Amino acid sequence: MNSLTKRLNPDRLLQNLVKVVPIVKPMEAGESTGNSSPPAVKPFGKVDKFLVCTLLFSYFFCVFTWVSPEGPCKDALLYFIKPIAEATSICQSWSVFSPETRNSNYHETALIYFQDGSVKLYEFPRMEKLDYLTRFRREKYRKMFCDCMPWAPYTQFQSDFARYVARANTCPFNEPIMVTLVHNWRLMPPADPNHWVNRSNLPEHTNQTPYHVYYVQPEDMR
Amino acid sequence: MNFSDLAKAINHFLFAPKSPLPMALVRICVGLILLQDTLVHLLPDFKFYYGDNAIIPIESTICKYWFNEPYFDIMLLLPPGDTWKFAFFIVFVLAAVCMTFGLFSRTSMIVGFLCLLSFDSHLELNQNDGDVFLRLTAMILCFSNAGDALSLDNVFRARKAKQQPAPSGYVLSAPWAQRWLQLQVAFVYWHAFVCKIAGFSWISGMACYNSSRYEDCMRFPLPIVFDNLFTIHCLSWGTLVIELFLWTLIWFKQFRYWVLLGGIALHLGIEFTMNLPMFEWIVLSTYFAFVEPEDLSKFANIIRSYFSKLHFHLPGKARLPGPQSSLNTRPT
Repeated sequence: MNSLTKRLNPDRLLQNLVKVVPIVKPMEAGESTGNSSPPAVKPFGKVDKFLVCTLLFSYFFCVFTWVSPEGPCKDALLYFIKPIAEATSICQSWSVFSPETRNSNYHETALIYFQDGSVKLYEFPRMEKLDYLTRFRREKYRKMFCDCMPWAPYTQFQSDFARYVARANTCPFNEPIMVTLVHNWRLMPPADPNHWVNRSNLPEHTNQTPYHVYYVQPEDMR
Repeated sequence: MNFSDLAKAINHFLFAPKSPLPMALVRICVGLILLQDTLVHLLPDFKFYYGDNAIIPIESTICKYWFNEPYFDIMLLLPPGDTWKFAFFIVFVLAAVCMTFGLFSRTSMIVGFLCLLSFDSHLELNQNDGDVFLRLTAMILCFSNAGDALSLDNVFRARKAKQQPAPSGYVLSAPWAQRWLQLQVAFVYWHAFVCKIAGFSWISGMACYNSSRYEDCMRFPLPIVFDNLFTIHCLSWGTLVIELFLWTLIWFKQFRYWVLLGGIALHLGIEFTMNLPMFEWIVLSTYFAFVEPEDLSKFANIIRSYFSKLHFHLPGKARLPGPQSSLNTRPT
């Protein structure tokens, strides 16, 4: 009896209720609150709804067109869509690591040729050689030098990269005269259970492919 | 289902008033990620990317990349000189701070988005998928009711009106921007999934072998998992399954949280093994848009009751089901 009284103690019940964690249900429009004031609801008119529907339809129409397969229909639509998509930067593609994953590892270097005939090797930042914190902070280097510089559609910027490297290596009496960008790569070892290569033991990038030669102009060094 | 039913369903989906709580959480996360982007990734190399002697001068970008297409870049309107660009950068950081705290929410979200758009257009080459998704989320936030909850604006509004907030806590409004964000997230997974199944390496279950061996993207070592054929198969196919569910089953309430849990595991796994800052966190932060406001309130109450047990006082109070608010609460 004593224990029952304890259990039915209102204070204790209230404490337990707090522990049960009551849920506040957000109210839907028009739902009664039981309180004097109904929930405040921002009005939304028919014109607003029409504008929103038009906006969403236009947005997803642009986005789906952007990622649709190449063809005359897409070309015709892109003629109208491209300016809008680029001005608002809604162009997007989420095909990272697909359809096939990359099967090589690589890094970029530059050979800088000077007036006196000497050559200097410059290695663009390699993420795997940076410490964790620097790797995290300087991830944009990877995007710029690994993902963009050697590949289309950014090949037109290779002269700018080479020019920057030349400027960064200027000497008063021995100016750089030529810069060559080199792609250093190695195919990943195949996933062969008999000759398995661990993730931590990948081979060096021993193949080299020069892909851009830039002749330094006198105005580049100003 | 006839046209009228469809119109009603769309009307309910986009415009039935909802709590702004999920979008407010997205806003806070996006604000924090914008601060990470600006202060951690851009600030140390600001002149290298955006200065007058940047690695890719803006003139090159205009003539070699923009061609005659319209791009949005406020920095082109600034007077020449790094100082002005840096002042613009400061505005960007302030907008991100205000966005996080919900101060001048709408304005800060619009300013933040326009600044982000300008920096992205100014130099396209340092943008990864995280930047693209951040930009899209920031754009959608500009149209949202994200400033109506968990914001200083809300506090000031309540003080000004000298009244308690509405019984539900927040002003309800049409959640169309939240739906837009949900559709955008589903679109991301749809496209990722469709692109992956077109490739042999994903179907054969070997994709994670190569992708885990990108030296430029490696973060922490994870032995055994990526050095074992069985786990590599499981991870490759598991990725496909989770991505499939994240644009299909996620729309069904009974599966939603399990699917989101799978998505969280996927992105945290990538975050641990691959050095792709921002992308995983910005995607994970948009998951708040899929959480029902009542579940968020439930979670907040659990946290509150937990802390109240520890004798900490958190802002707000747990609402008890009682005579005054019995119809406003739904105990489990």
